[in-house]
Amino acid sequence: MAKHIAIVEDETAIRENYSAAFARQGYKVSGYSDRKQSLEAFAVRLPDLVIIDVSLGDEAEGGFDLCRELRTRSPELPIIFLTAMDSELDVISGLRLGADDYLTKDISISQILARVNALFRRVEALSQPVKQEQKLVKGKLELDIDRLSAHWDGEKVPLSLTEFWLVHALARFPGHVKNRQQLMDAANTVLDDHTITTHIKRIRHKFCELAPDFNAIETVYGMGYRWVEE
Amino acid sequence: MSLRLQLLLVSLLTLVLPWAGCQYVREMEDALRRSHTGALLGNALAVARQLADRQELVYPDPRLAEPIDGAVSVYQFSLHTSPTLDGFVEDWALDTGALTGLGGVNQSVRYALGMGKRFAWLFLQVTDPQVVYATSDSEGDSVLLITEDNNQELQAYRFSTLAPGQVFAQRSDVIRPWQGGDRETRIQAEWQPTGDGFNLEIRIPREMLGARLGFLLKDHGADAALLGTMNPTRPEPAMIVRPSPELAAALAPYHRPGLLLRVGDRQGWELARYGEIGTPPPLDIADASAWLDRLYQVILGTGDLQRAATGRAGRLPPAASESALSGQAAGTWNLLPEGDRAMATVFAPIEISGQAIGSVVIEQGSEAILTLTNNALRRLMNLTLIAVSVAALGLLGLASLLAFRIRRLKNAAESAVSADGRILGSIPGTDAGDEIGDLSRSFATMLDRLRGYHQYLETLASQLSHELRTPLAVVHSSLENLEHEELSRESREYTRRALDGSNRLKRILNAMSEASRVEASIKGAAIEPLDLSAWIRDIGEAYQSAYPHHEIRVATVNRPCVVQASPDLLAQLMDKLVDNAADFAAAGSWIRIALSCAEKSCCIAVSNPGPPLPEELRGQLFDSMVSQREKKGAKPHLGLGLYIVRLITQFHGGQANAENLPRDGGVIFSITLPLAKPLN
Repeated sequence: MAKHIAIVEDETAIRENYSAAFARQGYKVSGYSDRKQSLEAFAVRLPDLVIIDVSLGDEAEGGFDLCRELRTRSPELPIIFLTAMDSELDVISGLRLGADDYLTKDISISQILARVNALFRRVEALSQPVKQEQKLVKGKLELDIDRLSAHWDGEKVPLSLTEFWLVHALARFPGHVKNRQQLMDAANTVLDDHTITTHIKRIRHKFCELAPDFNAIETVYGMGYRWVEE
Repeated sequence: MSLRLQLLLVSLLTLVLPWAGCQYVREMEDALRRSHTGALLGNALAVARQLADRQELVYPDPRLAEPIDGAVSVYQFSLHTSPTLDGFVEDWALDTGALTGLGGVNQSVRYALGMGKRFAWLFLQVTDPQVVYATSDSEGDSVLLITEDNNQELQAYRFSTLAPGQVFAQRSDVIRPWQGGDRETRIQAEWQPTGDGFNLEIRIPREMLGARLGFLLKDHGADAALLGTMNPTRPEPAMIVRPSPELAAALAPYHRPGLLLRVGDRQGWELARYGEIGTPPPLDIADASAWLDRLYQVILGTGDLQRAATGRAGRLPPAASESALSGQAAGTWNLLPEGDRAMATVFAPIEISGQAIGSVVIEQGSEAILTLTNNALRRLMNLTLIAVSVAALGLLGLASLLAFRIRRLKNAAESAVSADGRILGSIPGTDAGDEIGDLSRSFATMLDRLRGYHQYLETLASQLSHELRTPLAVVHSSLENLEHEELSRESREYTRRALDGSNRLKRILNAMSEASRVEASIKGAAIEPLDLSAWIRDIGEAYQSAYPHHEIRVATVNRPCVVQASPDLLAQLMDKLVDNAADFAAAGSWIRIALSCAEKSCCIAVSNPGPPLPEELRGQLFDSMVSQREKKGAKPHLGLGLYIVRLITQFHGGQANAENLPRDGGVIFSITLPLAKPLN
């Protein structure tokens, strides 16, 4: 059965365009223009994945509220945030809404499709037995490539999809410096230098919440970042 | 002209007050003097009327009132000493001007008559270029003296000598006066030669001198007398004018302390005097105001007072007595001949049936400025002075205060805006309700509005990019969808071009919002001590691998150079500088990263041999949206790179500079940062 994707976006053209792209990939797509409309529909049946715009019509941060409500109903539901403003990225992570990824609107359709596919893969992987060989273990770090989840010293680190791919790119070859372009390619996204810096900062922050002495990601000024194994 | 100076000048207008005061005081002074002389004049008129009734006091001998033709009266001084018969007058102790003069330039005589206890003395001072003494066969220069004895008979005496020294009178005939006769040993004289003539001091026993006396001088060989108090052709002596003690006694009742009363005859001879020109009693003033007095005297001056001429002994003041003798009674004010005191002089004629027979002159000394002797006026002047001083000081103080406030406002306004027009601070508001307060408030408001506008301009790029992002996403996603449609080859080509364009647009929007993202990250940046000397070496190596087409030269210092900084932000700053340098330096050329350390600051300089900075952009290079790039590259350039450099530098409390290297050697960008601890 085709996966059901819900797009909550007040900009009709974008909503229609994304819907068309997902439909082309064989997904079932529903589009909603505001929070109320989408909540009514979700009350009947939850979709398999939700893409939410931060600002919905008159509600400047209506997307945040929607995400919170959805998360309370289903902890596993993959949620992707779309935003027009970079600064909102910080807000989103600060609110700890539990979204699976945060994307700016200038992302290309192919990139968003890659994310959607990855998230579906993760959902599937969660329902299957853990395969040892699909894991990357570097010291205390443990990355589950199928489930796209990360653990540090046995504890789950709540990384978003982009963050997961960044950590994966760094940890795969410890000691190697990854420049920003390489990291962007790995995360399958178009991010500017600053956004990479922000992401790395956030990743460090998430690890530090679990292990305050975390310093495995080192900044190599002028070049990029590298994973340092203890 | 400064405001303070202007207000000071305006405050000078208050000097009109003391000026008006002075005018008032001067008028007051006139009035006071008039009333003063009025009172004195009353006195003088009373004396004159009294004396007119008692004419015998003025002219005890009726003959005194009848002048003799060609004869001059000789005034008789009272001698209080006993002179020596020596041919000198100094031991007579007469007042100055006692000698009366006769004659012209070549030949003249000055004489005086004195009355002692036993003798009457006549002194002649003769100026004669050629004194001829008598010889055995010729007579020399001679003097003829004719007196009236107590029996009212005229006696003639002749004086001539063979040589200077003691001379005895020779009795002579009144009718043929120059004939020599018997020697009269009771009348002695001393002939004393002088540089320009001779002195003759004649001593006459008191009892031999009656009411009349006259003398004549005759030169050697002359037929007639030349000089003298008598008519040379018909010698007849005039009455001796004698001061009258009775008359003086008659003046006594009119005397008050400080008054000098004098009576004169028709010729202006002083017949009697009573009293002294008193020195007025010292003013009852505290010492502290003594300097005020001097000040007033300097300011007010003595007005139009003339200094009185020194009087001649035995004579009344000529002006006064002449006016009185012409029938006038009036008063004048003069300064005393010496000192800064003044003197009131009033005169009145002694009139008998409309004919002036003499004059009364009363003189009184006083303070030069009468007003000052009046306590009330004096206090008024002191108060005026205080009022003027207070007003001037008050105005000066106000001016200083205003100038201070305006200067403070000016300084605040100047420091609120930087040299390159950026708004650094704000102008402190003020509660003052006056115009300066209004001005500073409107300055503050203006600055706030400007700041708002400035912020709007600086954030315009990022806001624009935010606003454009959604429509761009519409365009982009539509094009991507279009790619999946059945399209002709041409359509596919157009779609690809449109996608390229929208991608470029996307990159531009990203660059535009970069500055605002830096600003956002500055807000959350963590500061830590950073040793720049090691750090620069590290990033230098990193840049070498990042820019393989350039030769990165790194120069650092060998000692630690620690600043308080955010390494992430500093790295971003260096990225911008090196990226900028790499854009301008041709491939294969060098980029130099140098660190230098001074006492309190250090400097990171990034230089490259690229083309020099255009002069017109100097000072704006670090502003938002200023770019000097001419060629269009693949990367969008919005002139935000150096703006970001400036933001980060400012955050670290440093300064960014761009300069051309000498001799077209390239361009150098330098960042000066304060050291965490000064080097010692």
